[in-house]
Amino acid sequence: MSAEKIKVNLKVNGEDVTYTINPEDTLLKALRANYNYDVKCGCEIGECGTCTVLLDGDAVKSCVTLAAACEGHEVWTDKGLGENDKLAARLQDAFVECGSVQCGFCIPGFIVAGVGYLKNIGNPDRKMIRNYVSGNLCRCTGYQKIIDAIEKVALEMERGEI
Amino acid sequence: MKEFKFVNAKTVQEAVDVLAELGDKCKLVAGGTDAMLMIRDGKWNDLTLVNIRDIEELRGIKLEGDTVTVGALTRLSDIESSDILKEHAPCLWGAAQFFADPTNRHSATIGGNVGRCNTVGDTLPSLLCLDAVVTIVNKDGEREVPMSEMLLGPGRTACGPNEMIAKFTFKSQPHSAYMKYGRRRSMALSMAGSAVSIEVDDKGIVKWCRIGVGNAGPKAARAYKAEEAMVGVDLNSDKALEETMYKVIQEDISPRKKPRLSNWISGEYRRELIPVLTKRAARKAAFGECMLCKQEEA
Ligand SMILES: Cc1cc2nc3c(=O)[nH]c(=O)nc-3n(C[C@H](O)[C@H](O)[C@H](O)COP(=O)(O)OP(=O)(O)OC[C@H]3O[C@@H](n4cnc5c(N)ncnc54)[C@H](O)[C@@H]3O)c2cc1C
Ligand code: FES
Ligand code: FES
Repeated sequence: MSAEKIKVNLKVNGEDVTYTINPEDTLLKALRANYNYDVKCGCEIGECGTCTVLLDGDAVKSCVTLAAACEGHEVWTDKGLGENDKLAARLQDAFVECGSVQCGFCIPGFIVAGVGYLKNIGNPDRKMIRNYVSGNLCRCTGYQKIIDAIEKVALEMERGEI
Repeated sequence: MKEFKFVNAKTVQEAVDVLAELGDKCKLVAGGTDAMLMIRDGKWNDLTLVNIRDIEELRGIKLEGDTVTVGALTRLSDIESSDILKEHAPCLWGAAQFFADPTNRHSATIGGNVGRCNTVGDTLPSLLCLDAVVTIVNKDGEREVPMSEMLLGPGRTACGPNEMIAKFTFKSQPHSAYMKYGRRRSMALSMAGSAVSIEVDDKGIVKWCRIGVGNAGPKAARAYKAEEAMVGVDLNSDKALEETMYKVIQEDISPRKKPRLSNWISGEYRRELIPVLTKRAARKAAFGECMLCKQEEA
């Protein structure tokens, strides 16, 4: 006998949705099962950060978040942020301008964590940026250019350009 | 085959009602950062998951007079950014700075850290040295357990299957500090950790202290012998400190001369490490900073 499915109502990328899930499913699994393929599955143990999403405005790792617990809460992913949020779209462009992307697998997580940083802290301080995204791993770039991109947008914010 | 059920508890009352009914057939899930791994690894199965993440009344940090209260669902990110804790419990505040990474800290709760009762748990040494009192709720009311009696062994606490941790209470202790030794600054579990709350006289002689050590044995624990031996020791003197620390704290942490060994660190190394961390934590607690050992920034 398989376990009984349950329904969870939440807001994903601005849209009210109802997902049918197993009670023990991770938010990562629920999102990907519902076509949010921009949320990447890396380690599934909370270490790599590819699955990072905004939950009620805070960057969290969706692989260590219980999907059922998100009832009534609001989730934003990289794609949704890019399409709806000016700051996130600017950060995505900055990643391209700075050459921050190699294989790209880690990038959605970095964008979401970067948006979390810009919205909640925002200082153009490399050390603070580095610390904030320290739960995100990248096996290609060596991080410098990723930090460059986030710093670039933080500087633009400081100058009042966005 | 995974077989779970789910209950969403929005209030303490709802949660304790479920706990009273299901007991060890259910598990609380707060931030989920440990719980989801228990599920993934198959260590939990055939259970009802009780979500408590949304119980607002158990979240928050309060200062009343010189008494600090931290709700069980307070996240590590709230602890990290709390001015109250920075001033009144710098050990706990400091533990949050070196806990996992900022993203995990948005989920991980202090109640979950104690509930999990892993010997590496970063808040445990601090709660021990602060001599915190844990308020545990069940259907019939609440009871208080001192932190020194809370941790029973790996994954086991004094909080029964019908109960839930509600909050932690302790006296303001501005002279307290936590020193963690991990492989990296972020995303590194502690190889060893030591938290000290201390009072010294104006010459730097120790009047009293409390020491909590993490990852020395199967559970985080107070180092009672070292606490006693420290009284009267000159905190400025390396020699006096080292003699006390090395001799005594090793008795506390490995009475049978068998220090804990793990994947990350040999027992011998840990035996050397803990006295050093404790010495540094004591100085940092008393003087605000240990001259020798500013814990390295990123
Ligand atoms: C990538 C990663 C890195 C980590 N790094 C660290 C680290 O550096 N330091 C560290 O200490 N830990 C670390 N952890 C472990 C974990 O994040 C912490 O133990 C965290 O505090 C658990 O809190 P939670 O709210 O997520 O607990 P949950 O996973 O929700 O619960 C943990 C356990 O406690 C029980 N529980 C939860 N709340 C209560 C309550 N109110 N009353 C009674 N029981 C309760 C649950 O039933 C469960 O058994 C890490 C975990 C991951 C995945
Ligand atoms: S997949 Fe979530 S942190 Fe790696
Ligand atoms: S670009 Fe390949 S992992 Fe980061």
